[in-house]
Amino acid sequence: MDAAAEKLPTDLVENLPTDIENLPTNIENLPTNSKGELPVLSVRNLHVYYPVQGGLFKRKVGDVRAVNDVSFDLFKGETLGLVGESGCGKTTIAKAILNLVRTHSGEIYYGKKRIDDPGTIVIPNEKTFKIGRYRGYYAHGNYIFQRITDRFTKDLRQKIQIVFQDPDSSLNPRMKIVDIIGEPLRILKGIKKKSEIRRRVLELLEIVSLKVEHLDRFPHEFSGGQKQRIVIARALACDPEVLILDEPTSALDVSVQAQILNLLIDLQRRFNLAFLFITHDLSVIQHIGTRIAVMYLGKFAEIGTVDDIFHAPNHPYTKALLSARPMFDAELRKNRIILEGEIPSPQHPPPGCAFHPRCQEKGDHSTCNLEEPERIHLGGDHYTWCVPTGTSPKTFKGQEVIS
Amino acid sequence: MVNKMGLIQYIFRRLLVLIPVMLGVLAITFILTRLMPGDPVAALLPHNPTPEMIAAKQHELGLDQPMIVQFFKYFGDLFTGNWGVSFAIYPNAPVWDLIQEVFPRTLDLALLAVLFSSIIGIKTGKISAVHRNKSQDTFFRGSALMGVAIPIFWMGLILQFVFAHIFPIFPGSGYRAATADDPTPITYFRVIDFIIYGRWDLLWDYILHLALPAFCLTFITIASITRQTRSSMLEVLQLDYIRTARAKGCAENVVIKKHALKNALIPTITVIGMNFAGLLGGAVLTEFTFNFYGMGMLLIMAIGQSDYFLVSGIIFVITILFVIINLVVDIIYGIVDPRIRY
Amino acid sequence: MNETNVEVNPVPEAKLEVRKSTLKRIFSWTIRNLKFMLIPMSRIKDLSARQFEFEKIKSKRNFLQRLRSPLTILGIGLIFFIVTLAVFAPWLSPYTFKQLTAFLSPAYGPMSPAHPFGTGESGRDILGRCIYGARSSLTIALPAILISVITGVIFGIIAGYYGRWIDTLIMRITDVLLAFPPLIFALVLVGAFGPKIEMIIAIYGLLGAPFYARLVRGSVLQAKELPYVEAARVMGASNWRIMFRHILPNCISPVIISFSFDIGGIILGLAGLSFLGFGDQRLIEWGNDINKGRFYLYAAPWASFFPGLMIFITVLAFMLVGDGLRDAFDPRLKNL
Ligand SMILES: Nc1ncnc2c1ncn2[C@@H]1O[C@H](COP(=O)(O)OP(=O)(O)OP(=O)(O)O)[C@@H](O)[C@H]1O
Ligand code: SF4
Ligand SMILES: [Mg+2]
Repeated sequence: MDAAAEKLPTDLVENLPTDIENLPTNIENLPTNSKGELPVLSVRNLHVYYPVQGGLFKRKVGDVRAVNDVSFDLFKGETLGLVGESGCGKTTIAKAILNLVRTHSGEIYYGKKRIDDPGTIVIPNEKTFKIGRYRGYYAHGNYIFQRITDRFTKDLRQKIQIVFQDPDSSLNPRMKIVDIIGEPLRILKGIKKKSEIRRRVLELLEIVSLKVEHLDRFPHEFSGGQKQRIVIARALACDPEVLILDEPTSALDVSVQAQILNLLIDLQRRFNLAFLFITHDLSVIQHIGTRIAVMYLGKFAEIGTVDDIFHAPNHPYTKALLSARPMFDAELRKNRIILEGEIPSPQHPPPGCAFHPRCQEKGDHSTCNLEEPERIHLGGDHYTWCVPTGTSPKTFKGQEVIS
Repeated sequence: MVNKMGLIQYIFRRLLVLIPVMLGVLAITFILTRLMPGDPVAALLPHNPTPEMIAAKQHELGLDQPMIVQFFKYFGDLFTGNWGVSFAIYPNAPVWDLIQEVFPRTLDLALLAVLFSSIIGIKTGKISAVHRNKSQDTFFRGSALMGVAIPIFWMGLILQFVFAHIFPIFPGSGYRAATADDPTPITYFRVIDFIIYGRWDLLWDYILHLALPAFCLTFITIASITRQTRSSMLEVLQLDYIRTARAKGCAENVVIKKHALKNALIPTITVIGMNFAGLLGGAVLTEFTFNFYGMGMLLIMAIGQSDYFLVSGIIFVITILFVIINLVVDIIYGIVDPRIRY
Repeated sequence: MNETNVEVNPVPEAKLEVRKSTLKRIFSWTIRNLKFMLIPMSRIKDLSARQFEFEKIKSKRNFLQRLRSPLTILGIGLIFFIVTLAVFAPWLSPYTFKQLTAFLSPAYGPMSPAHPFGTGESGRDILGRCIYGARSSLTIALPAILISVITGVIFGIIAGYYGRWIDTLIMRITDVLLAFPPLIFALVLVGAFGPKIEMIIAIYGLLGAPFYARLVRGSVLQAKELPYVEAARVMGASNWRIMFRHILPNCISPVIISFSFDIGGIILGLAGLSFLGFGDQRLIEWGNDINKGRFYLYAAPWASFFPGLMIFITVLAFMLVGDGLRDAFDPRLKNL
């Protein structure tokens, strides 16, 4: 740390605020929702790259651009659905929010607090510093501040929680249910008394409709649906405000899926939770969602309310996703859009619009493979990322009926 | 092969890893042998040497230099073939010559043991797997377990007692009859030498002397080979394509021969290789039991007398062979099984 | 589907108590098991709890059942026998330690009622030395294996969990240590540091550690990618907690399996060492007896036969149990 203090410009280091709560924020004009509240979680220009190693000495030979310039806001009590094909970077966004992967650039805010852990510091008129070498500091806008502390991470972990994709493997098979659900209580809440922990765990179990006798069992003694309930109970242990749900139902039977979804809806009402709901199943999100973000290859393609996405989809990829759902109307089935080709590798994304090799509408737009698509406001909360054609807004034939 | 580049890289990387490992091995050997209580100067000089003689001898052996210099000198000498001299067992005999004489005999033992144990072990392992949980299996597994658990020197003594004393079929100790008049060695490999000289009587005598120790080593080596063959056979027999082959109506025998055994043998190769590497260094007990004068015997004598130039020479040979054989086995494994990459 | 609207019941106190005094426990047991007579409707809830208890015991029993192959039982019996010999040696042995290490004569006497296994060097009773030998073997082998396991597990977890240069460093060190054939390494170490019992324990502890480190590292590499590790991190668990509370229990079964095998291996190695004359001469050791007795092999075969038999039995016992443990642990073998 001393070494860092020597090398970093002293005037910046001298005035380090110790209280992370009082940091100034440089996100101005945050949006508000209909009730006039500020978002609980804001993501700005998030980039997450995974290094690719190879060659003789396992050097870094490239990056997987798992998340590429993603921004969104999440409000209290709402559900933002995150939809996209497998491998498009949905889980990576969740991990970045929880500080489980290092972000490449971009900012993540919880309320007005910055919570991401940037890999580098850029000081104006100075060179770039790798933060790993300057533990204890982090850059905020044009300033350097003390880096996220352990205590702060602990606070954060109480407020933002996650339910992982696969309930089977996200429960430690060698731990009893009390210990699994009690772990956050013990570590994050600092409850030491065993009987107190048991009481709290029991309350949580009852919230998710499990019973006393389940306390001392091991995970393998439960069905998939029950396991997912346990995972949810664990996530709720510290009264979070934001719950990230990473495909919470995809590993379950259809009948159990509905139960879990209803449980989640119920919990959301009861605790006024904000959900970031990751899925690749559009009908699930239609059931539970408030807004939907459609992702393709690490980027957002379209974001809007459920109505916007289902009744007035704009982006060709959204349309393709929508028409890929099972449908019963033969007429509609005829118009089904079938995407050709494979998803390109995120290590070498196509130039211009990442979707252009498979896009069914690129014929209408001449420069898709050259220009980066820009964010286009379509009114209300509805945005799309697509290269506009000349002057006329794009037209959509016969898509309103799809939902 | 798609991964040809990958394979070459893999081999290259393994070779690179070898460098620090060998350096570590040499450093440890050097430190440990220098910690031995032996005093080469006193041993190599006549009684009551003058201080000048001591100083001269110390200088000659390089012992007057700091340890770190000695280490680098030792390191350089190893690669130039100048491995120092023995001072306690055969004063002034070059270590290299001593090893050259005994190594072929240990190699003979190890080769014989590996050869027989592979042939027998693969066979029994296969039978065990095919007749899983039947009487044959139980028998072979039981004897394999015995093979692991039995103290080899105890077995050697029993064999000696039975086959050299009660039924005097084999000679009980040594590597040649006391009366044998060995011709001057050419290759130091006795078998080859005797064939060159046409001394069939001596060859037969040597083979008789090899029989009991080789049997001991074979017996303990069979165990691990049987076990490995059995478990990997069982694993392979569970796999889908074997089921498919069965479903296609291949005769059971063909299934086992053509499909299962071939794939099951891949891990067995590793075990055989490691056993061979182990035998080169691990024949110590057997050689000691049968008074079979090979590298292990020489090593024990050298350690017992703190003859540390000799000890470090032998250990260098043993470890470098051990490491190289393991490397070769790994590479073979890498070639045969394309899933394995470093 | 309105099952989620369950009221949060007041928690029954009896379920929450963790530690209780014995008296209290008996009391609460009585209440628990007899309350169906007092409280109506308590029966159903209790039954399901008991059903669960039963299932739990059943799954444990399954494991034990798998352990109950005749060979494993034989192994357990033999271990019991050897441990008894080791613990009660002064009472079981017909001669005292002093007599067994004294210089008597005649040497290498035949078997007789006074010396059921005959006598060995300096007329010492072989039977007594066989019994005392169990003591030396176990007192060396058990601490040695504990040292191996503990250091191996710690280094293996650290290497596997942190990866990068720590992993490379630890793995290179294990490579170096594994490049020496174990017996030869032990010989050289004893040659350098002298044949003292503490030294021998430390040497065998050191010899086994790299093996365990590799074993554990391999399974840690797999286990640390599993989602529950990430989940634990989200729950605020520190690295140490993740390593030792979450990952270790899931990686320990291969260690337990090879643990028993390795005790056998160490005893065998020790016997080899003292057979070569590099054991601690102050101890009564089987290998050492064979080393002395082998010169009189044709005249007095008992002097080397019985100590060897003891080694064989002991090693076999631990290996049988190791074999049984592996079968019981490995779920694949169950289905095979
Ligand atoms: N640890 C990692 N190292 C390197 N690449 C990774 C790593 N984790 C994920 N990736 C890559 O990043 C991309 C995004 O992965 P991510 O797990 O976020 O996808 P996802 O949208 O959650 O997919 P799914 O629906 O299958 O869960 C993928 O191409 C994946 O291969
Ligand atoms: S920018 Fe072009 S290629 Fe990309 S989605 Fe829009 S129309 Fe398709
Ligand atoms: Mg995912």
